[in-house]
Amino acid sequence: MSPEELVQQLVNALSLGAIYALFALGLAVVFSVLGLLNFAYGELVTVSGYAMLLLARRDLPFWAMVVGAVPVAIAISMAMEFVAFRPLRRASPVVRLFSSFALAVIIQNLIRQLISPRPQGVPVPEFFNDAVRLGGVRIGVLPLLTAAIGGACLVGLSVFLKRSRAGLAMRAASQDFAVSRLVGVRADRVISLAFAISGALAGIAGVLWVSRRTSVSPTMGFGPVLKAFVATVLGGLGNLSGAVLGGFFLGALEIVLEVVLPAAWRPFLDAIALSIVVCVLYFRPQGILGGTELT
Amino acid sequence: MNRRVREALGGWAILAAALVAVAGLTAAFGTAPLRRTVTDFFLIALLVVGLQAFVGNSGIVSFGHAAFVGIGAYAAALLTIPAALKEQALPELPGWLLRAELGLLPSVAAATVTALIVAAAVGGAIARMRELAMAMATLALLVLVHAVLANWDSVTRGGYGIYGVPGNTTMWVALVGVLAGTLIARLYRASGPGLRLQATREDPLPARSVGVHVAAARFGGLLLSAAIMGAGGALFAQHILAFDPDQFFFTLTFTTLAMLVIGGRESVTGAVAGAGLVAVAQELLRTVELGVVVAGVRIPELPGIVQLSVAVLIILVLVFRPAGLVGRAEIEELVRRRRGSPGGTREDGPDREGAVIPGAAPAPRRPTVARPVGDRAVLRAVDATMDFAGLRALAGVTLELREGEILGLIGPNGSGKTTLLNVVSGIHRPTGGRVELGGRDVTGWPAHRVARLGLARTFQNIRLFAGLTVRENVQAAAPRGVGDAGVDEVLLDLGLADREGTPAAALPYGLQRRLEIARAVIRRPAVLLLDEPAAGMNEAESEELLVTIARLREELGCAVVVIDHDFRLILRLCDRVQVLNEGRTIAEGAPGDVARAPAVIEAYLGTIRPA
Repeated sequence: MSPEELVQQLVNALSLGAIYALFALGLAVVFSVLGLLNFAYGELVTVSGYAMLLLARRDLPFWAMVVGAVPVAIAISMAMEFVAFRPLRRASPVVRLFSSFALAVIIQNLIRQLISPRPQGVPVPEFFNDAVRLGGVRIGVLPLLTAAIGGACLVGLSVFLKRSRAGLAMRAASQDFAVSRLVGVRADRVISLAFAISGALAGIAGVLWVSRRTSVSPTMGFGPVLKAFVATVLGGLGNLSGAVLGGFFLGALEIVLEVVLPAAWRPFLDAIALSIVVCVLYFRPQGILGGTELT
Repeated sequence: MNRRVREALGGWAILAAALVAVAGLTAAFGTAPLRRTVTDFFLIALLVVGLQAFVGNSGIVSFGHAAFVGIGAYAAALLTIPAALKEQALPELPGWLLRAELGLLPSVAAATVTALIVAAAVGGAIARMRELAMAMATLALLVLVHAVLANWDSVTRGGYGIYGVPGNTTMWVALVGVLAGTLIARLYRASGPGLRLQATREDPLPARSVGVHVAAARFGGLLLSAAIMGAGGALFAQHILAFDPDQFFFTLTFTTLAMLVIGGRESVTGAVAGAGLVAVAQELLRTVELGVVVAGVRIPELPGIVQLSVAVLIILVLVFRPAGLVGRAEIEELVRRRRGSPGGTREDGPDREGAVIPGAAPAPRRPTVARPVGDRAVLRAVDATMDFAGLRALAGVTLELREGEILGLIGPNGSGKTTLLNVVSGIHRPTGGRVELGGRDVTGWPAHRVARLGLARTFQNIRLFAGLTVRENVQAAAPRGVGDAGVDEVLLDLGLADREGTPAAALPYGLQRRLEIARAVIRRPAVLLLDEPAAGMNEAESEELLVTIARLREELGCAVVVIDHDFRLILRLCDRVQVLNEGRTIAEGAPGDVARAPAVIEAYLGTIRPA
């Protein structure tokens, strides 16, 4: 591989990893506070994609599609909590997992009913496909943008969690929800905030994801939620840094496989990546950062 | 054959009769399409029952079981499709597979084995994970298997799908399949391994401390249930005749899980009932989905309305009846409740909480004199140290428990008593020092191995298998070879016999503590650790407990360590007392002497400063 290709693939790995890290982080934020594994998390990505589609149909520019999509994902995320999880707050993790699974199917089918059961194309700006020259190396605009935006979001969230009062409450709740309530953290507010952050991350990641695939479909959330699941388990369930690490690991793994696998093996890329993850988890069932504390 | 197995067979007979009746009525009066629908129902019920065997007993959600169905279906298809057809459609198959033209039974057997092999290969990694991580791993398994089936063109024809499977699965074959599946699932649920898996579902920690290897129990359940799914897939393939990988993906996962959750995941009856209910609802809704004319108005087709309705139903059931419509009970229990005979539960019996333990009525004043204490140490902790992230809970404690001895372990809160029990029982791996049980070095052994070597314990903050009955709690802990009679004896001995059918969570507090002891005693331990057995008891109850513990020591010939804050209980019960403070031993000796030791008084009351 030439040095130029290497840099290109590195940017690709970073950009895919950034998307996966956002996916995983959005799932992990809710898990760390509530112990809830939200299967319907993937549908937040779907919802953000469909919001882009509906705005595009009104001939709005791309930036408006983006600005519109993220709040929709946040609102739906908070509504999810209110409708499907608040009545089950005392239920077992298994019951809540089933509930979120049903919720995912409900949202998928509502989209089938209300919009279309078939995939729809979403227009994205043409310059996404261009490449820029950076120090003599040609790099795609979209991967570069994705990596930059993803990285900025991760840094922003980390600053929010570490510096702000609300972020401190979130971190306290993710350590020990019951104790954090005893010291005055308001449960409903923290939970709503967790779902809002989760929705924002899904919304942003959704915009980036849809920009890559340039289409939406009712079941498109399955991929993101699977990546998020795998990345969070790989990183250490309930550990936010672990989720980010798991996301980047998974993104890098997929890019590496894409490069090294012979063409005949390409269709099995997902299967091979998952097999490798299973092997890692065999030796570290608690995940890479599992058992260590949230930083 | 024990009572649980007999009851399971009785319950299965009722279910079987109902299923046979459905088949018989369909054969007598049904049209060909109805026969097909009933065959569909039998097969999906078989799959839901197979899913129940794992999800119901382990309490772990699996999104991956449809993968085992797919594996079974493809295995059976490749082995049954006529050779001539295979040469045409799948010329790249290896010769032996091209030529294979198996009949129904061998193909089902081969499919079962194939599913088992895959389950064994991935299950080892999956079963070691934490509960929710396992759920995610099963989802990954689903995607992994789907990706292989959808892309392995030379074997599966990928997305084009496979066709020409002989139609060996008649309605009667499907009936036999679902009857066999329910029988296996019922027997497993009633069996020792099944019950122990249910114990891990209720609470893995006490399950470990009664000798259950949690990962192994889960692995076993996964294998059994994958085998049923594989067999079901083989029957399914020979019913639908042509299929593609998408048939074993998200929709099948959703349908089977929906049926299980709606019906009641913790019972086989619930699984079958859920399959029936959802299947009927789906048939009715499907006509709506395709568009119907109501009162002259044509309602347009509503894609996805079936899934949507079923999903809404799931959430409603979870909110209002979290255990599912049927709940945790099996059919024979439901029938018994209907008839009004309470069976094992005589909740309104005359003697309840304050019950005098049978056989212990003439309580001796000082019951501990009879048996001499031996010289041999049955349990020894040498210089045990335990650090928790910067907190030193044990700073080198040595404990020696001699044969037949009752040792009291006391000390202020936070002095390390419970930590010491956790270290010697394998719940914590000590940071330093050594633990010996019966002369063997067991330092760092996992709890289930320590338990199997003859150590049993109770928990300070009661850790029963809350959803299991009193009898099941004891039975789950029973070592191999202890039958119904042994369980009866222990229940009677601890005054729980008249509550044997009550769920542990519904017992009054005092009886919950006693059930903890019963669960430990059934293991016939050489060493019994009791962590605050009298906590929260009134005087009469702790008096009774005192007598019970002393008697158990006589009967079992075991050595006992008791932690308690009830000083009088400790003084009267124990042969020797060891006092901990801040993770160290500060006094040790005969009860009377220890109570007067200055260090002990200081630890409990503080020092008196000279004025």
